[in-house]
Amino acid sequence: MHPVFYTLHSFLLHTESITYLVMLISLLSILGFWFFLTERDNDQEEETQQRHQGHH
Amino acid sequence: MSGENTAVNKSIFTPFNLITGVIVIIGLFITVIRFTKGLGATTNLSNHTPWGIWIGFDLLVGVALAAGGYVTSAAVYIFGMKRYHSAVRPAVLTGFLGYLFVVIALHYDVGRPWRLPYPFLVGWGTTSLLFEVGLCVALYLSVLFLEFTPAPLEWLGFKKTRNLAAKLTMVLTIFGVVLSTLHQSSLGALFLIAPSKLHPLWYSPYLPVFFFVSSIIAGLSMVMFEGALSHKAFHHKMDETHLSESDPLVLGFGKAAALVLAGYFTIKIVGVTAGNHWHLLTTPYGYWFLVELLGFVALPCFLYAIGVREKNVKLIRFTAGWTVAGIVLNRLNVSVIAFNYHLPAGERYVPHWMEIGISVFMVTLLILFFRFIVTRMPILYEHPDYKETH
Repeated sequence: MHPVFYTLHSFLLHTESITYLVMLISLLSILGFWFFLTERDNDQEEETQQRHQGHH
Repeated sequence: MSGENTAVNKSIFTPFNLITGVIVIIGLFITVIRFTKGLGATTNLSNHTPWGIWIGFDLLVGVALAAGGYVTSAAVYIFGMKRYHSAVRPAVLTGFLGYLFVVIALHYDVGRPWRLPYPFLVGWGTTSLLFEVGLCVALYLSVLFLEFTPAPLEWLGFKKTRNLAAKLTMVLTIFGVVLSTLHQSSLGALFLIAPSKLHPLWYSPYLPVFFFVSSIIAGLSMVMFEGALSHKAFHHKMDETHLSESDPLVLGFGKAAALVLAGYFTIKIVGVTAGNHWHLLTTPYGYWFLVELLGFVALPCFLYAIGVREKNVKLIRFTAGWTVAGIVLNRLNVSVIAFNYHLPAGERYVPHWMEIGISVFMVTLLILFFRFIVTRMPILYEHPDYKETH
């Protein structure tokens, strides 16, 4: 249901409140996405380090 | 003799040459009509829609997809990612030709093309966004030309001039980043003047930010997509360095593209939220908006991430092509499809076949120029005389 706004103030209060929530969810999601994206990099780095240690 | 003739005939009449030859002939035919009979004879432009696909595709898409030049140069020279060095020349060449054909295509679109230098020579319209875009594009085309010059100078054997041009690399890269930031965003800002014409789902006060961020995505994806095509067509021209750097480049750029796409998806959602346009998502235009947002932003973001995690270069290259298509769709949505959305169907703009013909002509000429340069100049390989200079 599309809400009805009678003043600019009520419109801004409504949209900005939701924007802040979206921002918070987005920041947390991007953090999760970053871990998802780079997860295997850490595995690879560890593998490389282990290989180096094995050589030494 | 007849045997020799057959050999020559075979080499000239290849499917590629035949198709491009036909397109060039049709393009030249339309060019004559455009410049002798005017815009009315060749376009469906009107007072409602003064900007058609020559702006929506040739200019907006052309500028976005040419962003690979500044993105790659910035990564290599400013952020010091020297491992991607072999991608700089193809990216700068694509950028240079992209901007060159943007300017050439603009001559078809403006009513009096001989007046294009007027904003710089006659009256400086410093309060106009279009002036800023024009000035930036003119300056950046010059910057890209200078960035590209070491390759033809190496090819021609002008060592001293080449070394002088190579010394300018860093300062040109900085100019390129500054100018690109300005005009990529200003192209989006041009539509801020038409809040009643552009559909609310695409109209946003953040349009300049959307255009700039998506230009980074376009640049990264275009470098990978163009690299994939070059690998198929010009594999024999690539040296060992280029071939060995290819896969790490795709993985690195794929990761960057995934992250920037995630950011772009977020700010697009913020755009809908700030305008409180959620209810429009269940309208036909809303479904189309979701196709763009989910199919060409969220999906490639996810595919890039999977490709990077699995080290699947093929998937990343496919996703790069998909993302390039998404950028084309986004620019056409803003400038043509969602523009004048309130007009009745009969008054809506549908491009004339000659408009499409000129756009295809421009893309074909760009490919022909790219092929001519790549097969002659040191673009996909390092010139043996300058190997130690990198």
